[in-house]
Amino acid sequence: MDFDVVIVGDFHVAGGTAVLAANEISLMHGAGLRVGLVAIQVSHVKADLPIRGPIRDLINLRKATLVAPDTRQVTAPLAIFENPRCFLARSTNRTRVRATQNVMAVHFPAFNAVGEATFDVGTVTRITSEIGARDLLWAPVSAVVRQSMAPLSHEVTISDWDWPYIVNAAQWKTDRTTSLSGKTPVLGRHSRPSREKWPDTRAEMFKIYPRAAKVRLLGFGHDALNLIGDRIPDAWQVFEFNEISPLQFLGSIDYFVYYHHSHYLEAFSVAILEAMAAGLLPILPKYLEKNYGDAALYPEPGDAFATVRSLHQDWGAYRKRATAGLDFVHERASPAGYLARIDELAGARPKLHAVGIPANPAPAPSEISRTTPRSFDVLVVADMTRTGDIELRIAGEISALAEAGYRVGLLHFPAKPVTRGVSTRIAACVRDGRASVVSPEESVRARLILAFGPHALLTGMEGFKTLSKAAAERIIVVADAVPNYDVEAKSAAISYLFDGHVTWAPTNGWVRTAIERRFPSVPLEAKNWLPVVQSTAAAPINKKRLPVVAGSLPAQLMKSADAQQWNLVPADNLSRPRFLDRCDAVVWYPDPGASEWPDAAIAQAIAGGKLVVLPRKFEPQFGLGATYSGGDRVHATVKRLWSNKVLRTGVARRAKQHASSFYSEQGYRDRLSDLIGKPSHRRDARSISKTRKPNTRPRILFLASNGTGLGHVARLLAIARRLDRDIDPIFATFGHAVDVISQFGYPAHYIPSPIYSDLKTEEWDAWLRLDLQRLIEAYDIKLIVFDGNSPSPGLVDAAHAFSDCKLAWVRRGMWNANSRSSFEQAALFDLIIEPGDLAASRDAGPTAKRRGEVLQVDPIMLLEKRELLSRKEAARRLHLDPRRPTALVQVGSGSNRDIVRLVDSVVVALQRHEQLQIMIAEWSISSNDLSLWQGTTRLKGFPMAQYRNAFDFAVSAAGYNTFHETICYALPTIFLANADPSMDDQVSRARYAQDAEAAFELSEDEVEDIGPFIDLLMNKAARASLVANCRKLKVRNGAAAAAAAIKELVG
Amino acid sequence: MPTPTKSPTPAAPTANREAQRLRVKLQELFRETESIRRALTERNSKIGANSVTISPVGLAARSLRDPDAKALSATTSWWPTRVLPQKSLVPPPGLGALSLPREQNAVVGFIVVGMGAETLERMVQLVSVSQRARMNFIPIFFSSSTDFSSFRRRGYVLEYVTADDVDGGGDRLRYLERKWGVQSTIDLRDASDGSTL
Repeated sequence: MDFDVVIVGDFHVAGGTAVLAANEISLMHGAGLRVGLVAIQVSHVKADLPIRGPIRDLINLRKATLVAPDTRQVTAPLAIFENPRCFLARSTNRTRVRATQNVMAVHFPAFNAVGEATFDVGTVTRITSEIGARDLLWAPVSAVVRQSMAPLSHEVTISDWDWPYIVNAAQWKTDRTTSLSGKTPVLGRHSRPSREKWPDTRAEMFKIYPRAAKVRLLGFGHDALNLIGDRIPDAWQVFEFNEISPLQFLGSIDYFVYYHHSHYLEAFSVAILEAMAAGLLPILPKYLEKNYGDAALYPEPGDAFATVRSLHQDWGAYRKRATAGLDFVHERASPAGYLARIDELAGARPKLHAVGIPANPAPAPSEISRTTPRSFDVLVVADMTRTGDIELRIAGEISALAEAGYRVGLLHFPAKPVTRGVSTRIAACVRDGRASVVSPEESVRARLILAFGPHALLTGMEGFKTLSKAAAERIIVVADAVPNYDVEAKSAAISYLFDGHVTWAPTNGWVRTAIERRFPSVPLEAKNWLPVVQSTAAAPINKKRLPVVAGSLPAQLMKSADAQQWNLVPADNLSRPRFLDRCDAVVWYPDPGASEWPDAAIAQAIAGGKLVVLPRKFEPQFGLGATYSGGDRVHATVKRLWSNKVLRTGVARRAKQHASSFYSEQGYRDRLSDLIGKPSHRRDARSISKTRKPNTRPRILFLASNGTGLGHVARLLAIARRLDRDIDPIFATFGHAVDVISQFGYPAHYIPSPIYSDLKTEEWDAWLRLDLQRLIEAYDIKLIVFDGNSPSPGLVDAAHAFSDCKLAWVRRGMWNANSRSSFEQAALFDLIIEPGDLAASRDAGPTAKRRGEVLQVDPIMLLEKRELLSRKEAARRLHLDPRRPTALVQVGSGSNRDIVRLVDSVVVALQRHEQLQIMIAEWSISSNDLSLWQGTTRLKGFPMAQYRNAFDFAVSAAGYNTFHETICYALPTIFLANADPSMDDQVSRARYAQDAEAAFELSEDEVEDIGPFIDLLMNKAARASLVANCRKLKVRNGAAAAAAAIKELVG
Repeated sequence: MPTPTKSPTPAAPTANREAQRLRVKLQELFRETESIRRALTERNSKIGANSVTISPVGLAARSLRDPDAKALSATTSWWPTRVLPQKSLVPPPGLGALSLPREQNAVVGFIVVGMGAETLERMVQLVSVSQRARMNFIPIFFSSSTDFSSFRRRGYVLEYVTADDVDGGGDRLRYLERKWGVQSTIDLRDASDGSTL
């Protein structure tokens, strides 16, 4: 391969050197030179960095050719070797360079400030020689570098001129007619964020940049943050490297004040030249006077701010003085001067080659003969059924595009036979009118195709022909995982398929590096394709609780004692709707071999100001948005930041600022505007809202699991009754309780329980999901309130299939201590309500250990006392004589115990008392017929509690509702607790009441001994004692509080 | 009615044979119990045994009405909003035919929408009698009654539907048939005397 100039260097490191190289390439290309780039990796940079930034832009625009690493040889009149430190070890790139003139541009001093060599001349000479350099001419970039090289003058040939820099002064022109803020000077600096770029100590830092001064810092990172003690002074404004453009930054300061670590020497800073070009008079360390002469000021660090204040006394004089800087740039860094030096080194003015790069390198789309195809600004192509981070990413981009007025089409490209539906958020985008679905048979044109999930695209090439009806001028393939396929081949196929020019947009540096290394000819977007996210909400409940941490940690750390002090929830669901809202922190430590991670979800957590703790290798990706720590320190890091309010607030503020700079909708719109311009048809901003559903009364689906009794239904009815009339409750039940619900006036639906199916619960669950989705969509449900022990994945998935359908779980306690329970779904609920239990102090079940995640309310009961019928009215309706004593027998539905035997024993004992009227409750959902005993009355229907005053005492099971109603309404009772292990802990409840002398408790085995207890309850004084003791327990009804929480949740 | 399929083969391993033997026993017990229950019910109605059914008094907060439901979004192969599971559910055969192997017998849907309590009970009983006689199908009911006791007592599955669900275009009914693997559906409204059976 022949070039006019070959540049050999490391183009992976961002910073001034890369900017310089880009300027050089651009200038030479403009002069008609063919520039080849031989990329090598710097041995001392451990991070696996990609080529990015301006050099990547130039490669994409074909202003320079990146030589493939397996190219044998390149030739040119001039070879420029950039930076001797790049040549301290053999590179994996084996390309030989043959040039007439070889120049080493020395960008760094040969010795640092403490006299340590920064490179070994012998090694550099040997390595460059192996690459092909002969008679290497060493060209220092400045006087400081030249001075440092003096001891080497006997080993190498040093040029008698300084290597030229390029700064186009016209581009940096800034209006400085007045100071930015009048009497208060604004000082600032721009540099890479690494530690050596900052002063030695915190004291020195604050001496130069006082806490109270208006300071703006571009290139601020964790090193600087650690230096100042984690807290950024209120008067300061900091920006991460590349967060805003240097031009914009320099326009926002009055004084450029730059001091660095004493162990470091600055060679010839581009940032300083840019500051001069922007009309600033830099204030610098003394030793740099050699470089810049009177174009800058050089006070001692401690006097820097005094110098600023002094200069600020006379703004006119300062501006006049600053013109020296501009003169210096013209003289020392002009494009003409650079080209003259190249001309001289190359031996003659280079020939102008017709490089032939069009202004727009994208090939024009071929003619497509179709009848008036629909046109879109952006066509999103992906397997739309994929969930997780890619779903979050795609939906975020669709929303941002739609909000900006772009017309968005969606082309579903399934990777495999359809086994699941379009993912939640994307389906919501269509329902809300943010995007239109495109059929594969439809001819459509787009200005840009965004293709996501490339590893799955075109898999097997099914649908290749039918999908060829979509076309775009430009195609960007968003690569979110390290490719394990042939990127070049896939790129060619995508280009052919959609008739457009393809570039690839990696989502992070690791993906970029992988593509760049293995497929160097594939055009890459200059910047990583960052997600656009909406902010998450602050975690809402229990302000004093331990942090709720979404964690992905190695197993041994998950189990450690510290982790037990967190409310640790698995991070597998990071991208689920509203999951992050309930988290305070995210810790993400993936397996070392992971090839993709949830960029979008982490970005969303950052946008919400959450504490995000990651391994250090993620710092290039998430910058100041996250905190970085080794895996062994992650607990301590979370603890330290969480326990200190000032630090926690600072973290949140920085995270939000990071997000607003890197993940905002505005930033994304700017990105798209750069790519395809403004929206082609100004979309009516109201069109999105027009297509949204009308703002009707919110509807809540109350979903009751099937139980042995009616507890789940009764609690939900209790809550529904207390909701405002502007909310519509709709019920669904797994059990046979439709009649009960209907009697309360609510629409009721029935979904047969899994016990009716001979399949695995998971298979039933897949149908449950569909049944619920139908209800949610048909009734526009905004919230599902589930009452039951085990919310299934199908339930959660159904709700999450609608972005605006929330989830609440009414989870009563007193589970059996040995119950095999799973709480995997708990973290996915927006709200968990624990109805109080009078016997909560005896609760030994698993929910008792999870009260940190719930909202506790008083026991939930269907009725208020005032709603009970009077004795006279109740007796009339039950055909009883109110003057005679009456007993109620209610021992449950009989689903899991022999209630006929129990009732028989009780009735025999009761019938010893001739005056006694006996009523036997038959549960609505029971299969048992309890009309078997002569002289008794079977009582069917609901709610029995309303008829409490008809009874003088009861023999009863101790289920949640019956128990609390019995105690609350002070009905003297003998409890026959159901001790079946599948039940809640009725025995503990019954014993609690007996211990409080508010009731009696008998086990099923003791039922034959019930006679004396009944004899006792026939005694009025004994009943009065029990009534009095029931009242002492003061049971309050928590239904209204639960309803209020649910109303708040549904907004 | 579907053609009878082969009866359960006794070639199963010992454990399966034992399970099947227990199913047959439970089935017989249920049939006996059901006979007793029916006799007791008859006796109670004759002697006027007391039974009271209660309902909420002044507690119904709203009028009983179904809020407007909107049409579901379309689902296509190229924009699949709802994808049905590959496996249908298998309804239980009912307590009176517990020995019927589920996988080997046809699932038959019975539409019993709009029937009063007595008619409904009679129709379910007819289906049950027919099933015992034929022992070659498993019923599932599509009912609009809020009283599920006829189904519950016999261990049958029902889907609670409206007349619109079964008459209005049939999407809902088709979905439910697919859900339970129904091979044919018989509308018992057309023959409430059971002649279809």
